[in-house]
Amino acid sequence: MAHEKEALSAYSDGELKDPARRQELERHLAACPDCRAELEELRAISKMMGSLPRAELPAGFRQRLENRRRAEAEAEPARTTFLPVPMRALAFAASSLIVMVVAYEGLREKPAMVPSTALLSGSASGLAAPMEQKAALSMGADGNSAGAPLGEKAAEAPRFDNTALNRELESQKAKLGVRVLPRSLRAVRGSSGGGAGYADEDEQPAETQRLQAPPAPAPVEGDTVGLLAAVEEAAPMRRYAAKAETAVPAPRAFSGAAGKNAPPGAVARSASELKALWALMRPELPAPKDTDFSKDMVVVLLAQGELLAVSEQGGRLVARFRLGPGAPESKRFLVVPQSPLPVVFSPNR
Amino acid sequence: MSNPLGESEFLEKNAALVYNLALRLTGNASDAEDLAQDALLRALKALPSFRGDSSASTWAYRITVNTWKNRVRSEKRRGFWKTVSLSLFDGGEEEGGTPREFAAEEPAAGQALETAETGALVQKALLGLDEESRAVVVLRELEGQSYGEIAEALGLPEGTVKSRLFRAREALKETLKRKAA
Repeated sequence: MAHEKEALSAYSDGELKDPARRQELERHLAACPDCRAELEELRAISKMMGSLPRAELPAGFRQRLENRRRAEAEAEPARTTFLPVPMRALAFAASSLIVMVVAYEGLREKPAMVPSTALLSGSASGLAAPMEQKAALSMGADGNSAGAPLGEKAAEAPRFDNTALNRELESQKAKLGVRVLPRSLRAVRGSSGGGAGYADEDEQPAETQRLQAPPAPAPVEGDTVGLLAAVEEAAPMRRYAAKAETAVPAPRAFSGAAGKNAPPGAVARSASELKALWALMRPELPAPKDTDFSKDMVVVLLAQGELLAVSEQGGRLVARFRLGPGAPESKRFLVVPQSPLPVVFSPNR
Repeated sequence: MSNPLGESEFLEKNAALVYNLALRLTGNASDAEDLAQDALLRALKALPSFRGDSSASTWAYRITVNTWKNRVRSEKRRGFWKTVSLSLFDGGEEEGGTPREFAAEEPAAGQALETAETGALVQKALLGLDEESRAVVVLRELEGQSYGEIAEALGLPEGTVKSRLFRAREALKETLKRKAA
């Protein structure tokens, strides 16, 4: 029966194609009121379905379609114009090769960073900070070796020994503008104030002992290398200057302040301090003449730049300065009235 | 037959057909537009390779039905396929029980209401069918496609189209009778 009904459905659609089958069904229909009713129902349904209204395309449909097409076309080239697969494989292989070569070269270079050749080759980058400190400690107060060019002997026979190391260190410091305080001036921290003074008390000059006499509040971090002026006009110096703004009190006298908290200047409150200070500065720097230390003192900017003004603010002296080349050397110090107040160096904005 | 069909000519003749098919398959205007646009974009991309073995409209129907089946499949996979239930239309009586796209089509008010009611009824019954049956019925009853064309469009043997159409009609009859009662 279901089979007959299925044939009726096809018949109603005009899709019963076998003429014999069609004639057979038509004969059956003539005799069977149920099947005629069934056929009527099928046609009614078809009519109902066909009565569903045709909808117009919504407004803007074609435009939206066009927009989507354009968007997809724009997104497409990125994918399709990329290298074809074999070329991509080749490109990958080539870049891998480059990476391997670079990595290999890098590894080959590495052993050369060991002091023996790196230091003697004059490579600035080969000078690691801890090495520098260690070397500075071991070399003593030999200020004369500063700036000494690298000996030919050392160059031809690269060998790791203290002499060669010290020479290289000095030449690097000369290049970088780093000065090391003479040992006689380095320790302002009293041996009582932390036990970091000289091992041999007799070795200390009277002047240093005098500085230590009233144990000054020591802002100094460490007591090893006295970096009074780092590489000028370099970024570390600017950071260093910015640090100075955070009110690092200058010591009574200039102190061998190492590290990033060191102030970029110093104060000489006596003739001997001035003399010691000037010994650190470049010889060509004109020294302030005839300073009466009973009334005045000298504030000095150790970095390259200009000392603009020194004024008293809130129980301390603020020395305003501007970093950078171009200012005459004579602008690097100011003679101001003697004051026991701490001096703060503050970059001008 | 093998003349290449221009894009604008293709759209001119088939965009509305595709949209109407989409409307009957999805049962609402916004899904219908999405589906129709997806299908037409695919058709336009494939148009250069269309050889004219079947009519362009049968070809476009086939793409539309396949696009629709893919969407239904992926929506089912994602687990938020919502078959538009019959009760949705029952609950829509406050709007005259009429989906918007059927409402404003006929000019004469009385007849329009009747047509709209019939339309809503038929659409509801259609949405009660499974996807394969719905596609067969829509192509046959609404688009007037022959069994051969439907078989072509759906990638089915003609015998399957015939039996599926019969079963779909039986189901529709039941739904409509129940509704009329």
